[in-house]
Amino acid sequence: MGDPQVHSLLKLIYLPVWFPLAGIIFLVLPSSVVKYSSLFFQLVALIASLFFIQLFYTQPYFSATWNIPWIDIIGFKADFSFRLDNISCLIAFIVCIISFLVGIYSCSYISSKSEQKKFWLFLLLFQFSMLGLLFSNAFISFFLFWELVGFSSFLLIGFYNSKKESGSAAMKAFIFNKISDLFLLAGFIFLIVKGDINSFDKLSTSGFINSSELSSIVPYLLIVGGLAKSAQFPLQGWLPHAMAGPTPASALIHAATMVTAGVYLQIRLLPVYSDIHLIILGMAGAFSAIWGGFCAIGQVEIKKLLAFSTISQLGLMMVAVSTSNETSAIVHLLTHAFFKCGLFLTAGIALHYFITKSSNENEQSYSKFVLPKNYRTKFLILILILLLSLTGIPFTSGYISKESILLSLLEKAGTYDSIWTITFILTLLSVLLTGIYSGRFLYLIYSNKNGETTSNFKIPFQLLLPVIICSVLSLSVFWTGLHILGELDSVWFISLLNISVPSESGIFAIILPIISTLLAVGGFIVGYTLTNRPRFENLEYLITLSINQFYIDRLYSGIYRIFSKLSSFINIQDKQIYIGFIYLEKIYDSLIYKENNYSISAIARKMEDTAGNIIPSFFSGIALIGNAFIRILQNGKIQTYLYFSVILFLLLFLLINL
Amino acid sequence: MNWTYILSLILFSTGLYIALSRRNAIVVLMGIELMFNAAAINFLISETEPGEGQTMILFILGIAAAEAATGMAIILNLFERFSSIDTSDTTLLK
Amino acid sequence: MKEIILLFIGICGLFTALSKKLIYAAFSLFLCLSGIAALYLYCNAELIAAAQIILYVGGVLVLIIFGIMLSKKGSGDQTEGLLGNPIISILLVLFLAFILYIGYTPEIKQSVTTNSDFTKNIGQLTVTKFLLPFELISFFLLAALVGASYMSRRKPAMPRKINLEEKK
Repeated sequence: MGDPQVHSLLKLIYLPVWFPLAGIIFLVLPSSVVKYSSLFFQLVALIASLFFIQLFYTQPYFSATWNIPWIDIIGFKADFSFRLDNISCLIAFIVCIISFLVGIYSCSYISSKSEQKKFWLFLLLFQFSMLGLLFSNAFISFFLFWELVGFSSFLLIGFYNSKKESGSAAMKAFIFNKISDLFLLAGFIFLIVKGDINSFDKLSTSGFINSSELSSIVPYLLIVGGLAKSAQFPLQGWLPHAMAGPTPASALIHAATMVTAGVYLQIRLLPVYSDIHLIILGMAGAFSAIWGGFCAIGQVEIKKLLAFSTISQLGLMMVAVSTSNETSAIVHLLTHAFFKCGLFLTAGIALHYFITKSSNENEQSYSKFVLPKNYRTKFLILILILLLSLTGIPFTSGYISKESILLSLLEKAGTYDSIWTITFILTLLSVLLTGIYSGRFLYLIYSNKNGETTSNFKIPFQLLLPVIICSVLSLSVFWTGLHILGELDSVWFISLLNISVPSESGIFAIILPIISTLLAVGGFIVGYTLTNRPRFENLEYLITLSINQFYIDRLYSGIYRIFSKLSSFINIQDKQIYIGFIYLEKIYDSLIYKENNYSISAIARKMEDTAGNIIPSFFSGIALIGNAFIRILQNGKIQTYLYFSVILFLLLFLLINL
Repeated sequence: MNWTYILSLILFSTGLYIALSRRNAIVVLMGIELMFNAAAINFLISETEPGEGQTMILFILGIAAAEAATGMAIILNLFERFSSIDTSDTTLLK
Repeated sequence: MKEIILLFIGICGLFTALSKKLIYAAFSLFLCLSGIAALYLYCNAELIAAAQIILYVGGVLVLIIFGIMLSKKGSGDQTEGLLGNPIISILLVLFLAFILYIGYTPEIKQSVTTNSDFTKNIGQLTVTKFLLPFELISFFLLAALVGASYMSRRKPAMPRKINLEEKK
């Protein structure tokens, strides 16, 4: 259990988890007031998480576990337990900040009255489940919140009912998440049943993990369990389609918070993994980073480009986790949250402008985006900061985290075998690809000049403010203070994490940042300039390949279609036979008692006459086949009966004697 | 390899085949008689004390005679009813 | 010599099964039964042989021929076909024979040749060991007699004949 602070459980009433829940209750207010009350509760949640952060400053080794007993019968014990940990509080703080910013943004973005309550309900539900996920300790409650997060994201993706692709995108997200949830559940059940480990804090103290009793399959199950939530290969196909949802939802969920739940899970589960599993995790992450980067290059829709960029950055985070360097993973998670959120919100502004111009509310064609003219230069600075932070240029926050990841990778590659070297090279390649698509993004968002006539468009401040805050927070000054070129050590809250930070010294510590910066900048320039001059023919093929995500989408939908056809076929047969039996009862009665016709062919004919289309020929086919068979048996000839009694005698004889 | 036993088997099978697959009812009766005889031959050669088989054959003979008489009566009644002794015509008991 | 008689009986039995004409089947049955009587003679069972000739050939077979005579329709011998699928029937009976051969082979006593006074044995067995079947068979024969004569009585009113042409 926790420490002496456990007795002050009353403090846990201020957990930021409950405030979004209270916000949901207040949704009964009229629609015009709803956004303010929800914003209020989000602000309160933010303050509460701040409160917990300061708690960690005063007592560095604070941790508290709060146990809610739920089921306690003989042989089975399951409780919910919440745990306040430095990691969870830190990430919760960031989640609250981002949620608040997105809340401000969506006050103006979701402007129609009819959608207000729905949107705020989904948003607050999501925030509640995300915070619950972060704070939960027991496997059961973690899984509950994990599923709830998936469900909230499903609701938010399918928010625009009138669009055709919202429903299928939401279904896709849900199904992909469900697949990996199965694996996760299997892994948890293994741990609970075999190892008697109920919660995350028992993982590090249990001897079961290192024993040989731990089946070799459990870490693989847990790895796969975290794949779809973080959109890693091969379960990454849902994230690009999830962009059919409203932009604030994309910014919150698919950039900053939900997709990091997978990374958080892996961080918590690090004691379970041994070297080989970490290698696999690293390879999966590096491969997803390459994949995301490559597919992002060919996209024309900016939201999809950002989605692939998210996949790539999450791959980077997974790589960080796999090098057992939790600190850099967490810091990258936090910095990525800010700049990705800012980028999404910018894309939202461009789309919003287009929507208000075209005055068609639900038409979000994501290939049409344009920035208003009078904001172009102002936005240039903001977008440039965000993009450079994405690629990891010095003086931005992205640089800090990316460098630490690369450094720890290099350290692993130096001391261990060749697989880490491959991972390192792949990660460097992904840095290059990041630069390329960032340049492309800049070009795309600035080159679209069609149809802007008004130069006096006023972007509401609610849309602008979060973008400004996000981009400001992407500067490194806010993270390292005065050590502008600082390393991970100098992040001001790093002492909060109480995790050992690997510090790299030596010549590589200088060369590597230079190399990666050069790669990033070079990629940026290449991306910016090459986008408007596609002169290379083989590049065109590559771009087509990348647009279609190597056709993996089609593969998955093909598999899905096979199964759905099979299931609809079985459904029809099932319905037919069931309805057929109901009719058979009625028809048989009418035949026997009125017409004295006992033959099965008459029954089948009568069924066809009365039921018409309801009973298709399948069932009467059964009847006819049965009829044909029975006709042989029951033909009234004694010799046939004799025939079958001889067979019966033979069988009896065989049975008795042989 | 007792040939008499094999003959008994062959006669029994032949009688069964006639009973199963001939359309004329009188021929079926003939087949049944063959089956009786086959059983009689079997009794003849597989006795445990002397004379036992032949006694059984006497009884079989009596039964076979009774059965033939009854069967013929049935067939003649069938013929009066259906005007045919074809077994595929007498299929009212479906 | 015995094998020749066995062969003869077998061939006559097969001829009964496979002949197309009714009278030929009846005649081959006659030969079959006579052959079996000869077999009995070879097994030193004279009483049985005599009984076979009297009862089977002179009784049952004559009955059958009378039945053939009384149930002929139209003129000439009627040819008849086989019912159903003969191949399956052949296979079935072959299988039956095979199973019976494998599953049951009687112990053949060699005492047939030594003891030649079977009639005395038959008489003794009839009243000692097989007394009950002896009494029962007399009762059985009485019942068969009564039943057969009842079934073939002259019926007062003829029931309506089922016209077979309508059904076809």
